[in-house]
Amino acid sequence: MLEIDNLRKSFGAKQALCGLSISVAAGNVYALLGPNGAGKTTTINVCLGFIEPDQGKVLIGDVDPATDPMGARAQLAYIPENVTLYGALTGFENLDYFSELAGKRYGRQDLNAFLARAELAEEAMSRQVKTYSKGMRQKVGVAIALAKQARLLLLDEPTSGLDPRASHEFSILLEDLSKEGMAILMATHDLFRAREAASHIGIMVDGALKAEMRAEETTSEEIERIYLEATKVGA
Amino acid sequence: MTKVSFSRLLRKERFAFFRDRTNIAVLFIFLLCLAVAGWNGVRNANLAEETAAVAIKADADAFARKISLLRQINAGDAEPGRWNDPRKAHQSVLHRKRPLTPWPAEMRFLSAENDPLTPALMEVGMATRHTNPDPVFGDPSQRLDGPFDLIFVVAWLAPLIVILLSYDVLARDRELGQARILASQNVSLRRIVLARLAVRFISVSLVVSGGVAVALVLSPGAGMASLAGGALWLLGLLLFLGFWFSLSALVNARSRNAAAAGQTLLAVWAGVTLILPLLVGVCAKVASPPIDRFETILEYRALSNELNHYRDEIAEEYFSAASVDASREELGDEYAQYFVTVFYPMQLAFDDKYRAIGASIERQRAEQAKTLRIGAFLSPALAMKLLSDDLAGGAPERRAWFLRNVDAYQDQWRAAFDRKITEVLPMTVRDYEAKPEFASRPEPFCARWIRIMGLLAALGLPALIVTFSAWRALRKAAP
Repeated sequence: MLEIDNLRKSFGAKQALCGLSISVAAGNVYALLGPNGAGKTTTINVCLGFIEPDQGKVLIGDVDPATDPMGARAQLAYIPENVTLYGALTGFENLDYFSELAGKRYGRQDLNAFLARAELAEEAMSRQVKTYSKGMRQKVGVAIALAKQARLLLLDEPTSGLDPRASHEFSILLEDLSKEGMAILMATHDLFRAREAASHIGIMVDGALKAEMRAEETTSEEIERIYLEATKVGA
Repeated sequence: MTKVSFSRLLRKERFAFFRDRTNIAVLFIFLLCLAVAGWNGVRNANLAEETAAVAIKADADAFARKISLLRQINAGDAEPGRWNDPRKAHQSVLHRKRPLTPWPAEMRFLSAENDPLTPALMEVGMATRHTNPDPVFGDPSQRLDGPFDLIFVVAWLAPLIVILLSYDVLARDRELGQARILASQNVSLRRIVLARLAVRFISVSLVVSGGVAVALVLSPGAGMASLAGGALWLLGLLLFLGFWFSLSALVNARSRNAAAAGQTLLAVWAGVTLILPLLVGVCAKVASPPIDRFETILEYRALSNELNHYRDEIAEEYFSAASVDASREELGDEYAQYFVTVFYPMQLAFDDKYRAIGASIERQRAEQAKTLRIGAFLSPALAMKLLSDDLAGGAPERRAWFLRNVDAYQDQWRAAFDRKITEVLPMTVRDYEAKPEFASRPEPFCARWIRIMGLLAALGLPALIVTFSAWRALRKAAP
């Protein structure tokens, strides 16, 4: 579903991506681990078509976001670290608004079903979003992604700032989505959640992939060891 | 891929806009300002009409009484009073103030200035408007500030409302990271911003045009001319609001912070609405310096003294030209003697001389007005102010045209009564019935509309440039 091939991007003298190659198949969750400045967000930006790569190619399905950003965006959903939404609108109204932007039209029942699927409490659906916690807003973000019926989900630090229960629930939700055939690319710092939610893990340093592994074939301790070695200064 | 229709996007943005209570509060405050300003303008327009109507009626009644008394005297049923003898021309036409219908204006209610009131009463009689050198009509450059009327609210305040409603139309989303989610949808950021601004543009335009339409209906003498003027003003308003909304789009396309976007827009507002008009006003004054009031008074006094010094010669010259004996016994009392043989010739001589000073004041004001109109291309706020002012009747050219009408009427009035006064001929009922009436002819169509079209161009040009720039900037705008 997502093919990243030899991706290179620099901002002035700074090389943000140096020949990155990743593949995320439908039904897989790929966790991209790495320190700040490793190039995780740049990778997501290229996938979203927000920036053009200097070299290399990204394919979402069979669409290149560099040449057809709208075509690529139609197939993906994106949830950033902070889903702020519009405070004056309720969770339901926010979902309705973003569904419209995604070109989808749903009835009240369908929208409620998406919110319920994202595990937003029923009483919260008709409350203004400005009264929501971060976890609740994140759930509306997931509902927006669900309503878009995207085949690829891009997540940028999705569990940052969430309490352990909310993070755990989020991991379960990702697992469910992947079982339904959605491909998920998740940039994160959270080694434990990466191990919990992902099927594949890549460790990225200075714009390049330093290590790649299947989550089920490794332990959290192993991932931490590899991560620390890969990110060691001078490594 | 499902295409997102703009009309549905517009509907969603309208919903989101009106769900935010802050937006409703801002619109409500704006509506309140419009209501107060509109009320001031309508009251002013009504007062102008009423003052003129009362003055005209009082004048008509006074002449009706004179005619009636004259008929009674001729029939031997009444005796003339010493100060109320309708047969004596100088007594009959001494009225220092003649009621003159205010000059026509398409949308007088836009302004709450007092100026349009004053022409209701002007000196046209034996004395003229030049006798009283009070600057009834101020310099155009002094008209850049004014009362709380629709001109002020629309030209000065409306841009602030636009800024309040749209300063964060994209910058806030960027600041909070929301723009990235927006940009990941099936619709471009440009279309989203366009839909948001369209909702705000329509809301503000409807509020303003609704308020002005109510004022138009409530104001006196609304007719086809008012509708045509209203349509042009509405066009100007749309261009003006278009400029500010486009500017907002441009700033938002480049800003990643709502507060910074707001500050930038406020700085531009201060520049365009306060500083530039001020500078243009200074330029107008420097290029065509206002006639010094003190100098005018000195000139007036010098002229008066000079004429007084030569008053015997002036009277002699006048009566010899009219082939009349200036020392006539039939004038009766000393007052009549003085009035006919001294005051009247002096007044004519004074008026002739003073007309040159009056003309130079008019020229200077016309030059100032011209500079302001050129400067309006730099400041849409100034252009909107001048456009509204023109349609409200406050343009210096309209005043100048009206004053030319007044002078022509003065000449007609003199021509009708001059012989009667000079030769001390008795007035007849026919003379009274044939007395000239003032008709305020409207300024020529071309002159008026060319001026208004120029101001519309001054509004349209910056709006076009900023809209084009915003369109390009939004196309490249990153989330």
